[in-house]
Amino acid sequence: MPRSVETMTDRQVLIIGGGIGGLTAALALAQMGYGVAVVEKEAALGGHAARLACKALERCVKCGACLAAQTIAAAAAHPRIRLHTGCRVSGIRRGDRFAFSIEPCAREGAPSRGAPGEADAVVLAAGFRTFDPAGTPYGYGLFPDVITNLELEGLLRAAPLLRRPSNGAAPTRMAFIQCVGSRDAARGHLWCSAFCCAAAVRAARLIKRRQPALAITIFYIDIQTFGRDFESVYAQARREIRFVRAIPAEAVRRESGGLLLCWLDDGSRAPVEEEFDLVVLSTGMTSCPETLALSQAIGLRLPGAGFPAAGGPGAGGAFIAGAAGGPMTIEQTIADARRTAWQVARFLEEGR
Amino acid sequence: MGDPVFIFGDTDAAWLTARHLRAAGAEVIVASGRTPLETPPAAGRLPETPGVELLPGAVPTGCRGAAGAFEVSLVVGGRPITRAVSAVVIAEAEERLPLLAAYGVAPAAGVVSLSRFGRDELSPDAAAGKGPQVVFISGLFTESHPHMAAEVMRAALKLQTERGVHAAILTGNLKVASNGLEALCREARAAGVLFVKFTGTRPEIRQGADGRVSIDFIDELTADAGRMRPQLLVVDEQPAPSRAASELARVFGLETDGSGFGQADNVHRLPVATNRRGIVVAGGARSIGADPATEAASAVLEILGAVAAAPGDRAAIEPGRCIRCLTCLRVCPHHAVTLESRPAVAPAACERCGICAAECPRGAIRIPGLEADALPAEITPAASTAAPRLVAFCCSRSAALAARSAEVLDREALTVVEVPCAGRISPQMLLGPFGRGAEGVLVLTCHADNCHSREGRGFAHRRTELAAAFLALSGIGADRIKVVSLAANMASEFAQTVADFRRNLLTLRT
Ligand SMILES: Cc1cc2nc3c(=O)[nH]c(=O)nc-3n(C[C@H](O)[C@H](O)[C@H](O)COP(=O)(O)OP(=O)(O)OC[C@H]3O[C@@H](n4cnc5c(N)ncnc54)[C@H](O)[C@@H]3O)c2cc1C
Ligand code: SF4
Ligand code: SF4
Ligand code: SF4
Ligand code: SF4
Repeated sequence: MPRSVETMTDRQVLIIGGGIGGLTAALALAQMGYGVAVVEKEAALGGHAARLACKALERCVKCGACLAAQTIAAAAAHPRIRLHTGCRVSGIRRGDRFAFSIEPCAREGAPSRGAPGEADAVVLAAGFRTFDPAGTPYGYGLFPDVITNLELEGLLRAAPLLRRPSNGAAPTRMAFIQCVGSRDAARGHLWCSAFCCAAAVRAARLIKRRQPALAITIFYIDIQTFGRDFESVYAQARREIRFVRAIPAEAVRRESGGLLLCWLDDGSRAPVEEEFDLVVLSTGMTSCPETLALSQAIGLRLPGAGFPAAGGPGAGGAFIAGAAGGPMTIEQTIADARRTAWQVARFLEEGR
Repeated sequence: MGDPVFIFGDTDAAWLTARHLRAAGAEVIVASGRTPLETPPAAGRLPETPGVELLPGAVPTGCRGAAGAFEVSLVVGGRPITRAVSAVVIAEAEERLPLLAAYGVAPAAGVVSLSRFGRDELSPDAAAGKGPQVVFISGLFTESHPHMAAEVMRAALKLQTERGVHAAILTGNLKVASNGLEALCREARAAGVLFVKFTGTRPEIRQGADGRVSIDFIDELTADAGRMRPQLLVVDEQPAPSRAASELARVFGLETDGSGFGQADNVHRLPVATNRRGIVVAGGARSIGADPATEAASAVLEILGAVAAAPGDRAAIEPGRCIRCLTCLRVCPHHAVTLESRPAVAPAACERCGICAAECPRGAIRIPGLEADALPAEITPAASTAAPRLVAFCCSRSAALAARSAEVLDREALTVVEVPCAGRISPQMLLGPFGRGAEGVLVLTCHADNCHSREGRGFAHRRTELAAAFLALSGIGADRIKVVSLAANMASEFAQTVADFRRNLLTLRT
């Protein structure tokens, strides 16, 4: 008889990170009857996916972002999942089982008192960090109208119409710059972040639908395939949005407040300059510094820098799930977390 | 899980699923149209042992029943047989359609489609040839996929490093959105593979009488004209569902996506679910390039969930009221209504969407907790605030989640009624609140193509329009009812929708 749902067991799993990856793994493990503790450092669950805006036009565009809300609700309602938000795991040690303590993240006025815990397996689902573009030549942090893709998501969630952060006016010429911090050999970032072409094209189409007078340009290296009907989506997008195959070298602020982007024109190789009033940097994924430290503490081997551990087998009760192991979309994260949950279950049943 | 799990496909995903299920103690039947089964045992194939039945040369012809108790009929070697199974996994390989015609070339000594590359030998002098001797085309006139791009880059790198043959890749958008591909691309480039990308122009490909091609192009980076005359042109392919997988989707009553894969293009089906509980699709039966081990794990988890005891709150038909019009059989998107001597709901297949209950002309279908006359249970008493009293029917997977985190003023004047699917909201439920003091009714559903029960949202929108027409005729006014699509992450839009609707209702007061 297979271990089916609702079979009780006293085996416990610790999951570090309450993003869509951690919560999906938690639900799968709880469904198989294991007790699960999820430790999330932020006050809110769901990680990055819970901060994204819906990009539906007349129909859903299948970005998957709304799955985060559903997954959070299901995890919160599950009797075998304990959620520790605003907490971190500290002092984790491997013995026969894993011993650790769950400590509240330092908050003003809150006493920092750890609760000891033990688990038979640990899943590292700490996700990713978006690349910090402060060091790029686009004036991020200096020019208020240069924002990141994650900030754009926040603006789209908050209000139906997009406005320039500098003066609240409706933008008339907007640019997306792709691959910021990804596919960048100079930084040693030899990966494509996999989500940002899709996110930019979907966001651009939504904005164009809501603000038809706004001209949108996407600067790119290669537009990555996304979705099941990419060919037709891309064809439609090219009618609505200008695609320029070049990455601008820098952004210069004009006295007018406009942002001058310059790039090399294909073919003529001549420099082209054009003014925009809102620039979105499509920042990619980088690994969390803590992931490395945690994976060492639990005995997970990370064979290099960046994101080399995706899909790797868990060793001795330590496992990895979701974008902590490499750039992944929400769909891939869900599938990867379920794969991990199954591996954990096999480990707990068979000790391998 | 009493009965075995039926797995269709002779692929890594199929065999890994079988292995996982065996490990979990379930029996399996592995069937495939192939005779004999071709996947090498080393790739995970299970030998025929107790608990494993192999059915090569099988053609499924039908499937009845529900999760936990399906009956699959097949023709094996010309003989019809049936098997009682608890769940079904479809894990056929995808088909790969050649794209040679799109590039105006035909298979010949000098031209092959990607999956045939490697079977024909290059001439021994290939390494000495001037210019690229093998040219790959990947996603040039059509868009490609990382899975295909990876194959092309690996092949080119191998030619270059192991055989010293100069290789080139012509592409539009190079697809690197998968683990390790950006690094692979750099490695190939460093090894001497030539990448030529096209944006605004296209190369001109001409095939000579000897089958070999010549390619004329303008290098878009340098604006220089170039020509290649490779010994071999290799063209990538377009993935598509296999004929067997499409046929299976039809036989099993599965939703399909635009290209015919047996899974709707709907995020609620991710990763391996179909519209039927207990029937899952994995690997090449639902998409391309997915990792077989990942697919197999998800398939097993889905099955374990589907065969668990069905909760007691599913739809049920009252035999005394049913007039056997079969509306419920027709509208159920999850194949949960079965017909023996009379229609009945299989609890293990029912998703509690309520579409049947709302459509039944006799009100013969009851769903515990979702009775039309009990919803909404309470409407805020009048005069608790100045805000118009509203009832908002919300789909539990979309708008209801947005409602929870929305910042709405005068919450007490808003009665949120959560329903598992907007498809439950019947005309009776839409009009009921007006008789009990509500000033307006909102129907808040998921977006088109995002409905867990496919049609639930469509039913809700159509019924709201009908209710509005009725309200107009009865003098109450069509403006008092409104239907809006709101995803689970649209909390601010939820608040905005309520505020706008209230403003409108206030103007109707005077
Ligand atoms: C701007 C933007 C747009 C995107 N658009 C899309 C899209 O349209 N479609 C799509 O499929 N994907 C999209 N993505 C990608 C998507 O966000 C990821 O696939 C997904 O978030 C990965 O989930 P995860 O759980 O692995 O990681 P995360 O979402 O990063 O979650 C990890 C969680 O772990 C927590 N954590 C980290 N360290 C610790 C620690 N030490 N202790 C405790 N908790 C910790 C974090 O706070 C976080 O909650 C987008 C991403 C961005 C940035
Ligand atoms: S999948 Fe994306 S586009 Fe579709 S409803 Fe959900 S959030 Fe909106
Ligand atoms: S998905 Fe697009 S923008 Fe993101 S790293 Fe890959 S190619 Fe660049
Ligand atoms: S819709 Fe109602 S009346 Fe018609 S067959 Fe179904 S239960 Fe009977
Ligand atoms: S409630 Fe939905 S799933 Fe259940 S029988 Fe009715 S229509 Fe089918």
